[in-house]
Amino acid sequence: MSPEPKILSLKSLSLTFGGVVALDSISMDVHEGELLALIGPNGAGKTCLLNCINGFYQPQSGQIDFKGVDITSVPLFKRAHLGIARVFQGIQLYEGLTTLDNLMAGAHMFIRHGILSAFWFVGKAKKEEIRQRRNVEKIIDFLEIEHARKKMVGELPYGLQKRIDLGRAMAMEPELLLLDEPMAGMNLEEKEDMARFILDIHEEKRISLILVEHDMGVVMDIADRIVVLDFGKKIAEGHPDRISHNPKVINAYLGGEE
Amino acid sequence: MADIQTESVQGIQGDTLPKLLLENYKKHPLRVAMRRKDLGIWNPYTWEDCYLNIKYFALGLKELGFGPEDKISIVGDNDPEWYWSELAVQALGGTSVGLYIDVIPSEVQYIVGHSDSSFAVAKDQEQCDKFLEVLDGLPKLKKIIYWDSKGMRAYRKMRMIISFNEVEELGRRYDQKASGAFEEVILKGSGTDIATICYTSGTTGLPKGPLISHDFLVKGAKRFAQVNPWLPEDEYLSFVPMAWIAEQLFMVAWLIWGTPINFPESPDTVQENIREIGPQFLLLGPRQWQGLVSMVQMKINDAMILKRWLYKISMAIGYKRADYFYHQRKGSSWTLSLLYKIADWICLMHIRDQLGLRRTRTGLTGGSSLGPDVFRWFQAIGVNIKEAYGLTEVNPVAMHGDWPKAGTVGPVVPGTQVKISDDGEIWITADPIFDGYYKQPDETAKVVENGWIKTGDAGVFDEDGHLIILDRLKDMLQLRGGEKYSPTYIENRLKFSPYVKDVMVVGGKEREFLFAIINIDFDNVGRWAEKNGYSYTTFVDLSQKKEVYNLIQIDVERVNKDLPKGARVKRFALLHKEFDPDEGELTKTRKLRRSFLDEKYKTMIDAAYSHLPKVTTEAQVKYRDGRTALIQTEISICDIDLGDQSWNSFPSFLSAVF
Repeated sequence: MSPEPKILSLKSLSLTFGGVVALDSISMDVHEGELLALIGPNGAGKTCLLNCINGFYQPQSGQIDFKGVDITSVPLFKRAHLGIARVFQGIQLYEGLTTLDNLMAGAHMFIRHGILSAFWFVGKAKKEEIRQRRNVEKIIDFLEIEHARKKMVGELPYGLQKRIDLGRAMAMEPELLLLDEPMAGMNLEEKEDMARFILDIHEEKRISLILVEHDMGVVMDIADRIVVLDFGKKIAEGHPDRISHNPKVINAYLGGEE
Repeated sequence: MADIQTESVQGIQGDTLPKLLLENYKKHPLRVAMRRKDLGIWNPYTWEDCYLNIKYFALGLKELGFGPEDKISIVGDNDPEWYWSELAVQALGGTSVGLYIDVIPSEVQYIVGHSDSSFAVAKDQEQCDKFLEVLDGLPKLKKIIYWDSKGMRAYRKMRMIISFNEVEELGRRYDQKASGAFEEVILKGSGTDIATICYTSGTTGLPKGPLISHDFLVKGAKRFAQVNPWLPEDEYLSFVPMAWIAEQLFMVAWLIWGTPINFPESPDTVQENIREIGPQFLLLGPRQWQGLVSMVQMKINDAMILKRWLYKISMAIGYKRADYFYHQRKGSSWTLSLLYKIADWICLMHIRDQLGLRRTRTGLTGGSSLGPDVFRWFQAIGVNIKEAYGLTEVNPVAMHGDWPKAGTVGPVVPGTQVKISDDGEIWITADPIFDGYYKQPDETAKVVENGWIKTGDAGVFDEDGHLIILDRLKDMLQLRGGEKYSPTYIENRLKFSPYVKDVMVVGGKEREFLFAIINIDFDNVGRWAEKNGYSYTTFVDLSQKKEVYNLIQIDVERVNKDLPKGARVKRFALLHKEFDPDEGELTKTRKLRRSFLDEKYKTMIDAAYSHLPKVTTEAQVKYRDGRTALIQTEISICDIDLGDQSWNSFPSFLSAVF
């Protein structure tokens, strides 16, 4: 359907915990530069799916292709290097560090220099630090968090921390960004801000996004395509307009008589 | 002042702003003219950078069809691009029209339309949207130019819209064809040309557009500097709205004396940026000065006991010295000096440092009056805060020099004449005054009489020749009992409390006592509530807590002590929301729009005068996207026992009036 090449492709992915089937033969694709929303009732397996994509969980069967390469058995930390970053449901920041240091820490995987040049802060160490700092400053500018640059993250309000968490994931310079409920617990204004930033990331930086979110208003407004999960099964996939009228989806959300 | 004649104080000569710019460029092209913080780094711009940017932008505009005497509307945060586009337009013989950053689309339509602007410069997507929304009503508008490309990706295809850099690129190409043309155009300008139209925010009616000539600005800046000189080695932080005449005047001061201008990274980082720059010259609105005091007071309240104690003692010494200076007008006694040195070393210097005011020689305030308590507080920590009084129509009028006096706006600036009319109105004249309101000769005639400007402000001179602004003439009010009072004065005193963000005092001839509608300061009251173990959920909930009422009551009683008995605040209510310029409750410069508020909160005011303990208000809330909702809130009204509080320490300058 979409002319863009696939950045991520899941092929009949299954994940079980003992007798519980968390994911049941899920197949789906994410195209380059696409904003794909993943929705479903509680316990549908959305977070499990993200965990499989960035390597927290190892699926029992199926295959994950990232940019055409099978990464099913690639360990967690290497997937970050491949260009998959994630914003978690809870805030994953160092509370005792400043915003700037948190973002710099997000970019730590790009460090190539050794301990000696870091100690003297010459050559490669200096060059890399400057490059990373420039990237981080661009993210700070992008997310409009200049005023929080030198403040301890723990002291900042929740909505701002969420934004900084998004910045931390962006500092990894990902090609695919997994957002797990980035707007949970936010008020309307914070949600609007966050939606704007997500759209900006999507449109200006051309980063592919998988968004898990419960606020249907936001999802319907900003997603290019929606995949609906229910009890580990994919029950629908398509354009937001079609999804909102899909009887299976309505059933899953409102509970149907079967 | 003896050194007024020296070269650096004289500054650069020229009768128009672009000529001054050209002189600067020729004299010291490589000196730093501006700094802007971007991506965490202060980037300097030399006079050459500025000149070339202005030149290319101007030539680019010309390529796009900008003719002499055309007008351009500019809106956005204070950025070099604002300065550049204004000077570029003036170099071409055109006129700039400044808009406030929080202008709404209907105002954009009125001002841009009324001023006949053919071009608009708008910072970013947010500002461009305002123009696009009312584009159909602006047939004369040819192009909208933006300088911050963030979020503009969807607009790039629109023919109306072009980026600042693209305009410069056009100019650069034009310059290759015809070099030297720009300098010629600049030299053609004359001092009587109109440089800018400063639409006034206006507490009533539609905005008026005073025509401001180059002469007005250049001479105004020089008069200003006779009282508070600018020096080339000073630093200035540009933060007050560019559309305001004061900032315009400072732009001219920058051109004359070459004082580098620093632009903050974002409006949220101003406090940090002030600290990084350490400006010698700083203009903040009364609210911002007040904000600094509240911030320090709250932090001190959270500090450990030793620090609180040191602060208390140091401030006591600071206040003592401030009073001594104020009364004696000379250095203090050696014991006090010594004590102050110690207090300064232990505490006061560090407060100045934290606020970024360590090098501040002139901390100016204007726009509306500053509470005397705030004034004294800054004097105590060793910042010589000065009030200035001016109008867009003639500027500056009066200003504190080396001996500021709380409650006054200082002596009249040399070169300006002030007289008080029979009914107490301040009349002003200077050379030159403004050139009338654009396309509104009737309005001009109402304000100007034989070269004198009738300000509509009530004022008196005190024994030292300092001007005291009491209030707007029409706002000096009487209660039913005949007691005169100034609502603004009472409001400012109340606002000194860290817990009070805004307040409106209601009274008038039909009413027998004063009633205050108070906005609590959510941050500070919230912190206080947390510390004292009172739980709350929202602003509404917090504002209606009995404990909060008790807290605010203490402040009201403190202020009441300084007021004549008949004109004290007898009842007050804590509003369930903040006054909001977006809802038309405040003007753009955050002054109260009283008649509007009177009408809006009529039920509450009626209830207050019917001695009801509670009132239910209905408010229509308008969201950004245009939706509306009706919110009902129950608000308590608190009584204050006026009892036998003694009328002590009533400020001497006011007792002369009452």
